[in-house]
Amino acid sequence: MNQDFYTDLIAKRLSGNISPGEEQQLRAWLSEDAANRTLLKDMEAVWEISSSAPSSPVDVSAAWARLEQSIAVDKPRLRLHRHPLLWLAAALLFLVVFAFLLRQFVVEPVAMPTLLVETAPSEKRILELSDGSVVTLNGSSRLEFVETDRERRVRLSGEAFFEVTRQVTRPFIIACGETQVRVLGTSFLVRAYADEPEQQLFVVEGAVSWGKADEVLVPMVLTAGMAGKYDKEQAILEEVKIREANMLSWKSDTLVFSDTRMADVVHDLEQHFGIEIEVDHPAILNCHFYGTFVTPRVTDILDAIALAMDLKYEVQQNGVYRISGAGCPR
Amino acid sequence: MTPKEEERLLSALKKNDTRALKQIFEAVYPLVLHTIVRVVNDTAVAEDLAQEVFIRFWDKRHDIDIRFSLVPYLRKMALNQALGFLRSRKISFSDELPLDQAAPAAEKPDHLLLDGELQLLVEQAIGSLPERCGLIFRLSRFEGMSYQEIADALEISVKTVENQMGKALRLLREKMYGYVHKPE
Repeated sequence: MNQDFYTDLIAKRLSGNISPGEEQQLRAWLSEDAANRTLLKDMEAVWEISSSAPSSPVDVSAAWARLEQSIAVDKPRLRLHRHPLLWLAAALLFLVVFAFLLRQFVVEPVAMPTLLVETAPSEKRILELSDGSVVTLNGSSRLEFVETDRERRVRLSGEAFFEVTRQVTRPFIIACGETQVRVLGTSFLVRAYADEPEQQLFVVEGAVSWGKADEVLVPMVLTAGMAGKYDKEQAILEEVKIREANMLSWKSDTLVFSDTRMADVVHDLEQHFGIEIEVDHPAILNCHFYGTFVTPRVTDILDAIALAMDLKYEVQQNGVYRISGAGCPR
Repeated sequence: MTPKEEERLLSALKKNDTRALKQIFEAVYPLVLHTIVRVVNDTAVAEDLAQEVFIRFWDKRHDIDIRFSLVPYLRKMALNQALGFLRSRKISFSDELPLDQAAPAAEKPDHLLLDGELQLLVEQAIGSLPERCGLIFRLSRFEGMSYQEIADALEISVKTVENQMGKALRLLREKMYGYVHKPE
């Protein structure tokens, strides 16, 4: 008998699977040689130590929050087995619904209830979807959510930040007009307003694949920190470099400038506050600005800019902000 | 949870009290998750499966026999969920050593290893076993399943379980040699 045979026996003994006959065989082998006993000791030590194996930290409260949601969904469910008559009603209802669905979608998979949310121009909403994903919807946006056994599908017009829960068997798909985003991993921003010439996507965490809904175009995979844009007129999808600093300012209500050119500062302020800004002199756009603003008013930031660069600003009759002063040399 | 406490929680559960579920969840979730992680070897998948376990537990709350002790009951559910997942994916196991795991054996004597380091060493050593070998070892060592139960769950022969267990111990001894070997 080779040594493997006896280590198999040792494994059986340690795991409590050894038979009396095998135990005798093992003992005989152990008494033959001190080296055999050392081997047993080593294996006992291995068995002992292995009990201190994996215990990574567990986020119980996050897991509970997720469970609570799944359970809340089934709360209104009728407890049929307690009410025999309800069975009949349920069966009838089922037949009616089934017939209806059969007519509606002969081949479509049966869709679970749809969620439809629309936001007013300056409204923001945080939605928790039934699959545990969280969507922060920016103003003037519209989101529709449908779940089936095979996929989770969102139709989006406008801008939203998605934190998608990982489900191995059901991909999360966002359809925005001609393109669709297929989610492999977690959080990202989609900007797809119908009245803007391009769509933008910015991945914060994980990975997504983005392509034409009709799948003529090969989808593009974007990972954390990458951004893409889709030119609607030319139907071109491309990866772009973006300044990510204030992409999510509408969500966090925080603006961060770090040696940022005034041209970009003006752009971010216009986006964030939905205002228009003019400058008196192009040299103003050459200036650079530092500052972090949490839940700012537009005047807080303009005051800071005016002070830092010796500029002035005013609100004109037409509501447009106008910045004036000498500016900075190129 | 004491038996009395469990009884109280179970009867609250049958009255659809989600607070009782929460209390049970907080006590047992880490165990359930770890049980599944050990079997499927993928934390994200395990988290999904653990959710399924508790959803099923909640759905079955009216049928649960009060005489069961909750912790072993949930642990069993977790194990079944994990094994069911493996079967559903029809995993074909590789007996090859994972490529990136040409991990050198730890040679530090025990007094140099800190607690956390030992855990890490053990985790790495078990993680570096060939896939099927590691799974069988974890089912035996951590889930306390008998060879016969493992063979049934994985649809393999008892003989294979025996060989793989012996192999696991031999490989683990090599990897942890400096730590475990104390010459007479």
